Amino acid sequence: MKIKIIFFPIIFVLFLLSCSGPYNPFSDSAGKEVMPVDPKKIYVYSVFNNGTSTYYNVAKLEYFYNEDQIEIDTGDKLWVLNKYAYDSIGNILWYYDNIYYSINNFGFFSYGTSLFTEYPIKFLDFPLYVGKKWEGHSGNYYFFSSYDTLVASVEGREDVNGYDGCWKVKVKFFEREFYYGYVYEFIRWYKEGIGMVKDSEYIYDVYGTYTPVGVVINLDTIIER
Amino acid sequence: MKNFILIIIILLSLNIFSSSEDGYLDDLEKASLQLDSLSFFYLKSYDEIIKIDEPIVNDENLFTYYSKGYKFGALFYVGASYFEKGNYEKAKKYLNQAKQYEDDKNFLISHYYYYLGNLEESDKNYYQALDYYKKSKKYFYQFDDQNSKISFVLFYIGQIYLYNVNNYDSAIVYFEKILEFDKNMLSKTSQKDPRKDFEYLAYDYSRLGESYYYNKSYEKAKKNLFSAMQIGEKFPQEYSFNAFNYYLIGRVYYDQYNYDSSIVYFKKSLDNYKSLDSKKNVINLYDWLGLTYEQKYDYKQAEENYYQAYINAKEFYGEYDKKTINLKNKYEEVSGYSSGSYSYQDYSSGSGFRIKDEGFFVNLDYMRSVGRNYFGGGIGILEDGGGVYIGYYFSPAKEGETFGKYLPVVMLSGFNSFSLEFSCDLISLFDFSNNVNKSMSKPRCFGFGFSFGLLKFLNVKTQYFWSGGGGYSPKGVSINCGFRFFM
Repeated sequence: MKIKIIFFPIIFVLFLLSCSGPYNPFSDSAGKEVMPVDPKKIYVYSVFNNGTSTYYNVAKLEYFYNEDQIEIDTGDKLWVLNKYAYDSIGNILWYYDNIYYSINNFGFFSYGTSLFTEYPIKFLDFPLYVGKKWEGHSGNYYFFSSYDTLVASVEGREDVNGYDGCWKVKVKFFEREFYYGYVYEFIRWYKEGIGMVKDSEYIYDVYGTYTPVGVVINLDTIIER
Repeated sequence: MKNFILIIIILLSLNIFSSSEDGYLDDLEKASLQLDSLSFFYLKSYDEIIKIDEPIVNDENLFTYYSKGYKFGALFYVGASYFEKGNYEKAKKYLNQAKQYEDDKNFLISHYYYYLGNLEESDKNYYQALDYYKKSKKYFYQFDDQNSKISFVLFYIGQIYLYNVNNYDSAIVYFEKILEFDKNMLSKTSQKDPRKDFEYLAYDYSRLGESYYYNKSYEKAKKNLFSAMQIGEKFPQEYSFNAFNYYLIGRVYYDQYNYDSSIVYFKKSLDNYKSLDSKKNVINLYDWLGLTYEQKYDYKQAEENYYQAYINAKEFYGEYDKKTINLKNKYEEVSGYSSGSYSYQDYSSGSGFRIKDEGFFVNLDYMRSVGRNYFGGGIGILEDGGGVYIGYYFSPAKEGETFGKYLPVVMLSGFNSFSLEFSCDLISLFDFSNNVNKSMSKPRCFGFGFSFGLLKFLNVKTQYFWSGGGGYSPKGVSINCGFRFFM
C-alpha cells in the first residue's frame, strides 16, 4: 500500500510530462530572452523576395535599435527600431527610423510607426511554449492596412540558419470587419539570446484565387555598431 | 492499639472531666455512649452508631445538656456514618450541624474535615474540597502524625490536583509525599504484607506515574508506572488496577512514538478490561490500538481494531450514538486505506495536521510553472475541515530584470488525506492601474489545486493556475512540494 502511495505522485509527474504546453510544467518555455534588445548590435538579414513590390531589389536588411527609449504618455517605454533596406551593391533603397517596439514580461509588442497606438501588435506572448496560442484585436483602428485581427501560435522548435531549437511562431492577420479572405501571415523563428533569426511574411487569400506573395529574410550576421 | 487507647483517654478527658453541665444523662453514661460510638466507628458498625446517636442529637431537650465536645462528637459520628453508608444528604446535614461545636483541640476534627472534604469532592467543589483536605491533613499531623488516614487525605488531594484541577506539579508533590509516607508506614510493620504493598504503594506509584505523564516527564512516568506494574502483577486478579496501569504505560510509549511497545501494553490493558467485562474501556482500548496501528501504517491491524471498537460501541452505546458513528468512520476510513482505494496520510492538507484539526501551519513551496520557477510559502490556519492561508511566491526571471510575484490567498477544504484549494492572486486582483497597453490584458490570476499527504510532513500538491492576462503570472499546471510543521 505504501509503495502504491509513493508511486502515485511519480506516475502523476510522468503523466504531466507526457502532456504539452501549459499542462506540462516541465515543458520548455521561453520569455524575454528570445527577443533581446541590444542597441550596440546590428542584425543583418539576407532577403528572398517572392513577388512583393516593397522588397523589389532588396538584397539585405539591417535592423538596429536606438540607444535611448521613448517614454510615451501612457508611461510605456518604447524601443525605436531602424530598418534599412540595401540593394546588392550597398545602396540604401529605403529605410524606417521610427518603428516602435516594447518588450516586457507579457510579450513583445509592435506599435508600428505611431506613438499613439492603443492596441499594439502582440508578436510574442510570454512565456512561449509549444502549442501556445493567443489572439488580438486592433480596437477602432487597424494594425496595418485593413487588418484588425490576429491569431498567433507557437508552432514548434526547429533548427534554422545554424541555430538549433528556434521557436517557430506564426502570427496571422485577418480583416474582421470587411472580410475579403486575405491573410497576412508572419512566421518567425526566434532563438534565445539572439533574437529573430528568420522571418517569412506572405499574403494569401483563403480561397486560393491569387498567388501568394511574400518575403523571406534570414539572419546573416550580427555586427557591432 | 496504642493509638486506640490514647484516643479513648483523650475522649474521656474531653467528655467526662471537662463537662460541667447537668443533664439528663450523667457524665459517665455520656462517656460510655461516646465510647460505644468510637468503638462502633472503628468497627465500621455505622448502623449501630446511627441507632444510638441519631435520636440523641435530634432530641433538643436531651442534647442541650451535653458538653460541646460531646455534641461535636455525636454529630460527627452520625454524619460520618451516614457518609459511609452513602447517604450524603444526611451526612451533610449532621456534619454541618457539628460545625458550631468545632474545637481544634478535639482530635475528631481531623476526621471531621476529612469527611467534609469528601462531601465537597462528591459535589465537585474541588477547591473547597482541597481546603478541607488540607485542614484535615494539618490536624492529623497535629494529633497523630502516623495515622494511616493521612495517606488517604494526601491521596485525595493528589487526585484532585491530577484529575480535577489539572495542576500536575502539585499532584506530583503530593503523590511523592504519599509514597514516602506509605513506604515509611509499611516499613514499620513487623511482617511484610504484599497485599498492603498493593493497596498503598501500587496506587501511589501509578498515580505518581500518571502525574508525571501529564507533566510530559515521560521517563519518570515510566519508572513509576513500572514500579506500580511490578506490584500489581503479583495480583493478576486486580484487573482494574492493572488494566489502567498498562493503559497508562501504553500512552507514555505512544507519546514517545514507540508504537510497538505501546501496542504491547494496550493489549495487556485490553485483556484485563475484557476480564472485567468493562465494555467502555474495551472500546477505548480497541480505539487506541487502531490509532497506534494507524501510526505504524499497519492499516490491516488498524482496520481490525477499529472494527472491534465499532461493533462493541454499537452494542454498548447504540448504533446512532456519536461515539459509535465516530468509530465507524474511523473504521471505514482505514478500511479504504488497507484495501488500497485511497492513498493515505494521517495528516492531510500538507503536513502535521489532520485537516479536521485546528491549527496553524507554515508551508514552504517550490513551484514549477510553465516559463518560470517560483519559490515561496504560506502561513495560515486550519479549522474544522477548512482553512485559509496567504502565500508569497517570487520568481527570479531568467532575464534577471524582474521578479515574478504571486501573492495568493488560498482557501482550502479537506477530507481524508486530500484537500482542495482555491487561490486568488491579490497582486493582480488589486491592480487598479490603467492599462497602458491595451493588447496586454491585466492578469487576473486564480488557481485551483489539490494536495495530498505523501508523508507526515510532506505533501504534494498539483495546481492549475489560470491567468486572464499573460506574462509571467503563473499560468498552467505546476506541482508543489510542501513542508508543514506543527506550530
